[in-house]
Amino acid sequence: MEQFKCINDLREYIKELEKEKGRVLSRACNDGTSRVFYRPCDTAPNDEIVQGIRVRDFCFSNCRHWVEPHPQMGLSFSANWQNLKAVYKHRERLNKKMNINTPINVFWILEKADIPQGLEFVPDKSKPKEHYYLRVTEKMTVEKLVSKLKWVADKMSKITDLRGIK
Amino acid sequence: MINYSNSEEKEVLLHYAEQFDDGNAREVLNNETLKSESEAKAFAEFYWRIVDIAAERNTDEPANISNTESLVYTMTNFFSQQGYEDLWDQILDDI
Repeated sequence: MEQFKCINDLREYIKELEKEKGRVLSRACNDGTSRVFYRPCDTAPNDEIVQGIRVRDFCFSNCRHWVEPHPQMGLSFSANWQNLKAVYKHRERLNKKMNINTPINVFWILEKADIPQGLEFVPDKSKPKEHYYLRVTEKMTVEKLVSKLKWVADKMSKITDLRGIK
Repeated sequence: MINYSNSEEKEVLLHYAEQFDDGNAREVLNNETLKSESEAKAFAEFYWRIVDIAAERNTDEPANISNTESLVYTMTNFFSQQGYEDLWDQILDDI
């Protein structure tokens, strides 16, 4: 499956994927937006964004040139079907209230995927079944992190939301 | 219990429990349990009402797109842990 008409269509697909290949980590993003980077309009008005990275997600240096490792900070991923559905519905509800009429695509990657050195997936200790972080494991420049995140983004598979697409 | 990812999540929920004068939400937040289906449904409605405020992108409001997204993970975990996974799933279908 590379397309879906309603979020529940994904349930069996994700389950089958997990049976065959292990844990699937996913993000739900508005059509036309990046799967890993943010624009100011995609997030809270007070959120600081540096080169597309939300400062609240990583442990930034005060000068904003560096990112330090933190065991429980990183880019968020849904780690099970139900949480993906909840995140999708959160986005859908926001879109409706904000009069944004766009499909919401789902992007996924396997937990055990080969990702660049300096990044790793770790479960959120407070809710390991629902939520994972893509965290940095070594101090790196923001430019380096951007390039590694682009690599991960390229590895993520897209499942297209067919609603609204003619 | 409610497994918050950070203190901001709890502050946001407590703020709106007071602002909405929502006794059910206050009780759930204090006890960190869901005692019945009706209590669980009302608590879910409380959360989605906060999401609607986040959509207004008003910087004077504590709720925003980022912290309500972080809270959706916490809500899913809480409903599942309290035995209301199926109810949460139905609620999501009606959103």
